[in-house]
Amino acid sequence: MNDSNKPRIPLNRAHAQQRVDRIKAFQEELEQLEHEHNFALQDEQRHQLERHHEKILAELAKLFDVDTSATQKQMSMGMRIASFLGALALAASVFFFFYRIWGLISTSVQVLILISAPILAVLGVEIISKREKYPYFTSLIGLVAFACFVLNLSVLGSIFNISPSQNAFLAWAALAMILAYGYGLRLLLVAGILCLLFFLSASVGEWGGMYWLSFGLRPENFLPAGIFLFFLPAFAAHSKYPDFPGYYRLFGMLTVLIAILILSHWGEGSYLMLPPMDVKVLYQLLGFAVAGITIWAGIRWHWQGVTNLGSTFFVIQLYTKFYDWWWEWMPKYLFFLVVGLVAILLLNIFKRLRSHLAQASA
Amino acid sequence: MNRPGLWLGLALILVTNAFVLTGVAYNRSTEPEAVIHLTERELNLSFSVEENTGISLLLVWHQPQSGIYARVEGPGWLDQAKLESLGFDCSTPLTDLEAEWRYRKALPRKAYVVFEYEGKGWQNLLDTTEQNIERIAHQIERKERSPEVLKNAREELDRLRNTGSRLVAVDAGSDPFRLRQLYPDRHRFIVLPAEVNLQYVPQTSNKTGIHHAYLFGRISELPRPEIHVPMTHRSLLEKIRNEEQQAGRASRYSSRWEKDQEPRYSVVVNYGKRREPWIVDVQLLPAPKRERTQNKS
Repeated sequence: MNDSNKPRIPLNRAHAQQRVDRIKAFQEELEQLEHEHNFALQDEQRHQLERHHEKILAELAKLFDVDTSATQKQMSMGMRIASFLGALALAASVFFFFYRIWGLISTSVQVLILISAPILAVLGVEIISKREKYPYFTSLIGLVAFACFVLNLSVLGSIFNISPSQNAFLAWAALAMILAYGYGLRLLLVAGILCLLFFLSASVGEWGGMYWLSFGLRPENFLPAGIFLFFLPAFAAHSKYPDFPGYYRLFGMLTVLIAILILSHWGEGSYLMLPPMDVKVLYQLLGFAVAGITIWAGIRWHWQGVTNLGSTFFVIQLYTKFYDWWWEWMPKYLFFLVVGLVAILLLNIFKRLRSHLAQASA
Repeated sequence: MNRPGLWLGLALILVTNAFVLTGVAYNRSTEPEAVIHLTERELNLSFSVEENTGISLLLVWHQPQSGIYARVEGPGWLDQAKLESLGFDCSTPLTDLEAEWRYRKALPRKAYVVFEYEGKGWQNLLDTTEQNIERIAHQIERKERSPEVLKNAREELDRLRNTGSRLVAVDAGSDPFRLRQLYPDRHRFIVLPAEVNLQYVPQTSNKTGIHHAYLFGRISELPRPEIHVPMTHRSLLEKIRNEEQQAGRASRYSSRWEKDQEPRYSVVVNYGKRREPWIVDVQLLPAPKRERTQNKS
């Protein structure tokens, strides 16, 4: 090994963490091999390897603040949870504080506070992001900035008695996305995706002739939006944040599957001018088909979250059908026995599929 | 974050707010679309919550087929023809076997509704309620209903006459400018956007005969039913609200008054070009009846 070769620097923290995890796994496997097979590297090789890995780990920790041990990983998870809960609490605090004081101040002061709050919060995000490598506090302040902007437009609407419009969701989605892509904030990405989902669904409802406020009356309004979100990453490269496309796919498919699940039990809620029972049957069949395609797509393109989602919904659809067919007349012990046996059957099917895939890749 | 992204975020906030405030200015520019003097009967005071110091007034109004004892036989003015003019698909024959589930699937539509203040619509509502009471009285004579029903109906009429809102929906259409031409009095008629639902009533038969199926419309909600009270006009309303709370009479909206209670305040509301309201004046109303009642006790 040539010590003068400098390690290649990963593009982002996700890649850096993957490299650290691979190094740790390599070290553990090497130790296992030495113990089991009386296999050992020469001293010089071992020292060179150790020095090289130490150098890489130090460099990556310095540049990306990665977790280099299991303990650090647990601590990082705890910090992320604390950041999320803290953000929620601060956002709630902002809302309640403003509602507590707004009746006591003039309209012009209300407007000034409402506009200043998100601006100051966004500036705060920029300042704090420069001081940390992993965005714990940045994420917290980012969510507060988003909450301030939501409060901004909501309360302006109340103060001036403005008729509500779905365009507010578009504005909120835009800010959330700007912060998400600007600072690598996953929570803001989720907030942006949800706001975009509501905007698209409400717009689809309005184009269909209904009053936009009632867009939830037709779950089909969510289908185009869910499909759009699912395929959006295919048209936009995410080299800087390779895990972002997973969120689009997950929420897009979740939206589609939930809409189908609702319609498979509520035929009256469909645009289709068919008797409700026919609609329910149609969406039940569609639900199984879409869940199956989702599982296939997840396996085909190695989208683990998507595979799990498809599997979960397939099982939910199946069990709700069992309930509809058998709950009323079948003895309860027999019902649960059948459900358990079906679970065992599915387990066997997935096990055989897994073996088949393992053989195919070998 | 790269600098362009930061500036983009700040620009989005500023541009969005500028857009909203420009819309507010546009709504309030030039002459108001309507200027109307209402009282507590039409604008109920919202309930106070410690965590929310804002005050708003809820617009209360009546529509066809409203009120338990004022139900008319038939659809009223928001009938099938009017629903079709609003864009509802009413092509399925009412006697068709599929009519019920088809019409139940109809989605609400946006329309513009004309509200009249203390005019013919209000008088018609009172007349209809009185006719209903007469009908109930005849039913009691034939021992078809209990006397309690008549007592409740008379109490409801009293409440309607003395303290009920005098704002009544009298027409609807898709073109607000056309509606304003038909109802030009800007001090008596307001034209507002609203959500309208289609309702299907199936054919029924009873002792009086066969009642054929029909369609009627129901105004389900206004986009912004509450009107915010700015700080400059809140002192009087805050005093009234505090009195209500101290007397233990506070409910979600203080619309369940005592029978002898007169409205305590009047409000002047302007409606702008975008038909969004704002309050321009709040005045205390003289309460001669209230004082006489207190003096008697």
